[in-house]
Amino acid sequence: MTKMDLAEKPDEELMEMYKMGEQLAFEILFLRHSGRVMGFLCKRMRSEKEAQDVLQEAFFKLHRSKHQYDGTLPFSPWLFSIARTVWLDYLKKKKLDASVEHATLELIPSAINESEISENGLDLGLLEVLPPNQKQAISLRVYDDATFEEIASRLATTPENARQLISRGLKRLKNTWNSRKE
Amino acid sequence: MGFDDNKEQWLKEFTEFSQLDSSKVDVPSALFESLKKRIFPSPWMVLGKVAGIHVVVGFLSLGICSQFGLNPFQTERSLADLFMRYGGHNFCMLACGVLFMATTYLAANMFLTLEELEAVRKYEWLQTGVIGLVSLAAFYFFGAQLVGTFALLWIVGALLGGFLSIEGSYRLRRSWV
Repeated sequence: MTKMDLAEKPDEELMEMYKMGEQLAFEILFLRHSGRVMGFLCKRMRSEKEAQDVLQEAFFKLHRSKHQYDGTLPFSPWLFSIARTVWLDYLKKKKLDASVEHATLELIPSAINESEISENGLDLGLLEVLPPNQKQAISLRVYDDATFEEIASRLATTPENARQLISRGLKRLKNTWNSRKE
Repeated sequence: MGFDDNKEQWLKEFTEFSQLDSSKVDVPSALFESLKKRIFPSPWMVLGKVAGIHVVVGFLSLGICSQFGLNPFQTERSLADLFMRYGGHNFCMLACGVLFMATTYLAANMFLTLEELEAVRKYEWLQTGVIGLVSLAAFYFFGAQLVGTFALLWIVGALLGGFLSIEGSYRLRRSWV
């Protein structure tokens, strides 16, 4: 069956065909509905990039849940429910990330003694004990006030890894400081 | 923006969603391309991945079940001996084939996404057959004595092992999603 033939079919039939393994049916469904999902998300999210990520996740979830779709029910509310759930999950995760980020920020002053902080902020000399990637991650966090996502993109790594780099760096700074004191 | 998840809110948002004019919204084509790569990975790429896993896992499996007398780890006990003792030579060849291929696909679950496993499943007989024949060729290259009937039984076992492990893994993983 060609793309033209499929384009004339209703969503529910396309979804049934997709369940049977017709990849083109998924493509038609994406072309037909991605704009509306994107519009819905753009109204609720600050950045277009974030909306695009959630859009992609929503259609990925649709793919993973395709066997749960009941062909006797309309497709549109099902797709909307998936998109909405993915969007809400994203918000919850972001809220959680923000609280972890806040907790990490609070760790910084306790990890570094005030005497090591110059007028311009953290003394770069102290950071020399750190491996380059940890040093860069902490510098970005302290001086540039970068988020974990921004640090991850600068260091070409994942936000989770960026968080670990900072956490390990702080631990090492704390140990260094303690050994210097002794 | 809260996480209000009641029916009324859902209905309000769904109405808004249904009335949205999507013609003004631009969805970059690159977004669909990257989604497509995730959902429909290239069967060739997946075959490459499985082949790599098979080389390592297949070789390690010789430690527990020697194939056609090949025993690179010089282990004293082998499942092959057990199969031979309880089922005879023909059963041994069949069971060794099953084990050799099944261990690969079971181990592959740790490295393949569900979508990659779906791609494997699409061509499971062809893929298992190719991997099985290449493995037989490798055994021959390393000095195994391949006798017609035994080699045939082994390849049947390998196909069976591949089919069962792929289907089992896929169904199990899909039920977890």
